[in-house]
Amino acid sequence: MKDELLKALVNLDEEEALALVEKQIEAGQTPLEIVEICKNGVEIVGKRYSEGHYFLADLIMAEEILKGIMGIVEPYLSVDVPTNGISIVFGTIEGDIHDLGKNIMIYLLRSSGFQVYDLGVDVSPEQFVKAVSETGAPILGISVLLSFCVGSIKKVVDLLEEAGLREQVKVVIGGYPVNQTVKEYTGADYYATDVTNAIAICRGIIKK
Amino acid sequence: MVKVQFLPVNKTVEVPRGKSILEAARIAGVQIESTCGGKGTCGKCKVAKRSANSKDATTQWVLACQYFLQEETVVFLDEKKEVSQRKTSLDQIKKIILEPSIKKYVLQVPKPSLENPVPDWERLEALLPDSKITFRRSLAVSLPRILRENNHEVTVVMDSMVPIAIEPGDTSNRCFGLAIDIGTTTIVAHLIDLIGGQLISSRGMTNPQNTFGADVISRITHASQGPSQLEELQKRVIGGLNTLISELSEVNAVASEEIYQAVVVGNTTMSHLFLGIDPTYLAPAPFTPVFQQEVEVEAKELGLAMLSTGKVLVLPNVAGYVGSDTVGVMVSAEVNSLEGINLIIDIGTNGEIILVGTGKILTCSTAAGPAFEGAEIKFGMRASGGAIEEVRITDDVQLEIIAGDKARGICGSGLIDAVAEMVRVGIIDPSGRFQLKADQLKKLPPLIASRVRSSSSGQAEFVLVWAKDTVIGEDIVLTQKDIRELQLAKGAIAAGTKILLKEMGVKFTQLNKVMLAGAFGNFIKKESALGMGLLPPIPIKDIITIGNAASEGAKMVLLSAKERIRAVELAKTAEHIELSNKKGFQDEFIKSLSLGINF
Ligand code: B12
Ligand code: FES
Repeated sequence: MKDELLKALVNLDEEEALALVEKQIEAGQTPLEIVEICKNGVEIVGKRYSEGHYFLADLIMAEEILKGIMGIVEPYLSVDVPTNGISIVFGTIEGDIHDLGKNIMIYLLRSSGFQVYDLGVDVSPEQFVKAVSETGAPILGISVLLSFCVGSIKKVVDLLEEAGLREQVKVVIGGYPVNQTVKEYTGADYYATDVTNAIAICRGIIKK
Repeated sequence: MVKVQFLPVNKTVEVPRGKSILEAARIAGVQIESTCGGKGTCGKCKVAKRSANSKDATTQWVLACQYFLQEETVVFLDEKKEVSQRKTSLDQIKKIILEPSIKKYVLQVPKPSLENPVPDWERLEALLPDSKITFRRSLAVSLPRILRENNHEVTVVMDSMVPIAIEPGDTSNRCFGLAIDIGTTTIVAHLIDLIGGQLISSRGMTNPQNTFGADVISRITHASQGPSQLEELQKRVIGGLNTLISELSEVNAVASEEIYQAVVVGNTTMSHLFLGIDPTYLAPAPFTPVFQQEVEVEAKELGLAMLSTGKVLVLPNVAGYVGSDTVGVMVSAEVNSLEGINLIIDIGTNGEIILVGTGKILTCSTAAGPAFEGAEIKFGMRASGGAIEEVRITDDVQLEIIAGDKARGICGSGLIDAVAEMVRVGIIDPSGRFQLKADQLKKLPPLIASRVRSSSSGQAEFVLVWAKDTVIGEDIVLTQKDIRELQLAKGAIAAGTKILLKEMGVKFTQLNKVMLAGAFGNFIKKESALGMGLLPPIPIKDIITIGNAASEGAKMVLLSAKERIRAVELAKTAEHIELSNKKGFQDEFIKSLSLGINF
């Protein structure tokens, strides 16, 4: 039955998925187990998205299904859904208003158990630094779609250095113009162009 | 130093060892396409090269930006004239009442006498309709000689009652102007006879700023580095225009001093760069231009190859991403006298959309991205020789290829066709996903099914042309990622359209006409654009193409001072809808990504 739920989720079959969850709750499966299956499901959906097999609308669909499932499961949850305890500060850089990519990343990171502080779009370097300092987050994710705004990421990294925070936080960047050269230029630690990779990077950071 | 010879243009330069072919081309003044600005990521700068040292050296394909010269080399470029030819061949001038601001007065100036020793300037001035004109030193300089050498017969050229030239004798039968369209990709100059009101001829070329990247953002990024980079970009576009103008002058036997006025349209970034004005703050939000009004300067200030005292008029823009080219479109579509509700779309890297009706003009720009220009598409290319421009899928794939029978890649119109056809026959579903299951493949004609495959990297792809029928010797495919890229472009245009309709409070069914402006709009197959939901689903007969409307508008302004006033008024009336802070945009965008009709 576990596999069936996973399959329904991954195939974005909302009706089937919700029906299965109802059944499983009745059959006495713990809500946490269901939440765990959902996490795996979202991960596979993310992977298919990275491969180009799924697209934005499919991700939104997955999000919808997940919301539906959580609606069923929540009343039975005695404890909060556990996070992995790792927090990430995330935002789109100053001067840039593109937020779809950022939102998708945040959605997938949250589904994988990260606690994400979303600073929104057009975030100034100072705001990023302030948030890192206040949350003590070990990961800072910055999204950039306008190549023009790449320079502001460098400024974030420089300001982190000045504030003495550079050692405690890993800077991960992503978005349309991002590549190895941009990573090196800005002084960021990692970059990713697809979500599977991005999540693997974030997981990798904590393991170290 | 190493020598590089570019063929077939046959230009040779010497450059320091280790420079890339792209840099050498820049030095030689030779155009090589480079969408990514030389980062090695776009693949558009591919050229064939051969060592010049040994006779039997083989020719290799290399990326011009990544191949660093070590020895004497010959580089072969294909001439991509078709791009601009395609753009200029569409033009015709609308019928308007001729009343250019340029007027010529042939004057028989009385000779001075001892009884009446009136100064030359004043005797001339007295004959003009408005006898109080400002004294202009630059014209007075040679006035005495011109008068006396021509028996006191002269022609005064006036622009809105300001004298801009005094010519010897009667030149009233010669009067020329330029309409200039500065596109991010292509620049075009039209030479116009201001007496007969007709187009004499047009010339276009790739915007020479192209070496700094294909999109406006990369140009702004370069310009933002400092005054000398800004000047470099200005020089490049003016240099390019001067090449076009001197060709036009030569071929048509028109002296540059006989070109009295130029009207320029372009997107806001291009207008800034043309005038040498810092465009830096156009790139980051809130996308603020330095100026919005029409700008008039003397040609000599810019170094444009025409009468140095003639005026260059840059039409007003509407916003940071809605430029004077869009104002040109509004002028030529005569939006102030259209009936009912009409939608005008200029499909390109940056899609400009105009919705006119209910006494309003709404405009927006939507970042379609370069997919329509063939960039970011694995085998994408501009609409030039070897590009697949039409695709039909029946038992097998049928193609139309520009200028030739072997394909090199696919251009925007071909891409739209291909994807629309792939959805129609079920190779991909409307969500854009390849249908790879055995039972899905079985429904396809066998020859078609055999073209659907997974690449070595695991990505699904469709073979449009087998290697043997291509110029490049490898299969030309459309990948899953290509389709996603096109969906983003399509989604941006369709979502922008929906937002404007919503903003005006009307439904697509109320649209009287949908007009497609710009070169791309002319080549796109309407069925395909409708089929994939790029355009609102109105009857196909109500979708019309209006050619290079931006250029057309510039010509109209050149030919009629009234049109100039109209341009200024339209730019003021037009409301700009900023999509980046529209709440509903994101939802509409995601809905519009699907390749079905979803208006
Ligand atoms: C949608 C869109 C818009 C929307 C934005 C809506 C919104 N709320 O976000 C609107 C229409 C408002 C917009 C505006 C502009 N846009 Co725009 N836009 C796009 C478009 C078509 C798609 C971007 C997108 O959402 N992709 C889908 C998301 C999911 O992908 P993504 O953002 O790349 O994110 C993925 C990865 O990159 C990664 N990722 C992203 N962030 C991060 C961060 C981290 C830490 C990690 C690890 C990973 C990661 O994961 C994501 C999920 O897969 C692109 C073109 C394109 N093909 O990309 C242009 C594009 C980004 N825009 C561009 C431009 C220039 C603009 C404008 C400034 C000008 C204009 N009109 O063209 C304007 C703003 C002014 C104005 N008034 O128009 C250019 C940028 C060019 C450049 N060289 O910088 C592009 C590339 C188009 C182009 N070539 O012209 N745009
Ligand atoms: S790959 Fe050479 S210019 Fe883009």
